[in-house]
Amino acid sequence: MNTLLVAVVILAIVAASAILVNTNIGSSLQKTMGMYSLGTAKQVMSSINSAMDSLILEADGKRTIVKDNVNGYFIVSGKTSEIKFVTQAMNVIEPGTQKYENGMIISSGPQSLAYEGDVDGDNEDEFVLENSAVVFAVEKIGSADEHDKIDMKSVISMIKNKYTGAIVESELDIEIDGSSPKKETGYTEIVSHTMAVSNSIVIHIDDGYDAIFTLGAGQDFVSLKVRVIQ
Amino acid sequence: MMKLLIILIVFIVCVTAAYGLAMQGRASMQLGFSMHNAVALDDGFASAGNNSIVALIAVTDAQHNAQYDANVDGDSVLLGASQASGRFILIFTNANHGDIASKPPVPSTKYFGNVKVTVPGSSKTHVRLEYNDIDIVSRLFWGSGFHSLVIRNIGSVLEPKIVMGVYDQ
Repeated sequence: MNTLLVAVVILAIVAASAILVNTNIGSSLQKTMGMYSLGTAKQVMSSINSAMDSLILEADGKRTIVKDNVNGYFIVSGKTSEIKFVTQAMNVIEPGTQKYENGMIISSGPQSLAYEGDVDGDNEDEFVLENSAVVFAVEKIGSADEHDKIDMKSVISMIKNKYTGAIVESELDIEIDGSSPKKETGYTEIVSHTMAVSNSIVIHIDDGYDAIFTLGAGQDFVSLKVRVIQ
Repeated sequence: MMKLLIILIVFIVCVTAAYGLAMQGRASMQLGFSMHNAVALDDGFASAGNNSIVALIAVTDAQHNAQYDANVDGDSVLLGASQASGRFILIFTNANHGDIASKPPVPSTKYFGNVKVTVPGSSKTHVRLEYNDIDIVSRLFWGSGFHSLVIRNIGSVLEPKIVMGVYDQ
């Protein structure tokens, strides 16, 4: 009887130890692996950034090679001139935070939505960026193969503050060196990736500029980058 | 005295040349954002809707001589901003001037107003590099493993065009 009791106690100790190891050391190990993965990614991103800095001073097809071995996904988005890395490790930094480090923006949080839909009730689909704070919609006009007329005064369909329900009726005017582009044609497009924490809408004006609107997860503002087309 | 004058002239020429080189190819950007049924507030702020939303045109890179103005035309408010870097932010939130002005500049700040974002208990971490003066031509996606990333500038020094290719090792 005593022997059986001892066996049960030993079994219980072994089981409890296994559970403790699994919960505590397992999560700690996972976090350490995540930190390692993020650290490696930051090194690779830093190398890419340095390579870009040196390459823009040397044209004529000058090239450089960066080697990587990372646990995650890289996304190079030519439309928005961004390079993104998504680590597969969870909770490496506090969810919902964002920080700027050596030219890199490091963030963690819920993903923003990017979709086509009729949000302004005109029975036509718009390109929509949405998160928990803001809805930002732009008219769907033309395509990369078929450019169409763009009226900048009405190209933004809707901006809504989801907290107050307030809708901003707005007109946009972008001038480069004091004048608007000569052509009023181009196209709009949505740039999104299922893995990305932020998504963008691009208004492409022929022989003028690309206006890139980006909405990140949970942000209560839209970033606008205007890139002149030479 | 003459030596000092010569040194001063050389210094001014060098600074002017360096500034000219730095600003070469950099266009001046003017952004106008007109809102209907809005009220103009101070310092480039405006209020729309039920006054609980504040819209602002801000510039992320203040070193490029940012200028702001706000004009009222009937029931519309035109917020204007101009600078050279071509980067602006449009804020749509429930806050006042103080709330917004007290926040550190983007990208450190994610929320300017009294936003309550529900954050999932676990989230993936994202690292991002953004370029404004560099045109990246490629669209790529690659996952875990050993790779070589070849980066090439097929443009010029003034108009860099970067092409990327990724190869398994």
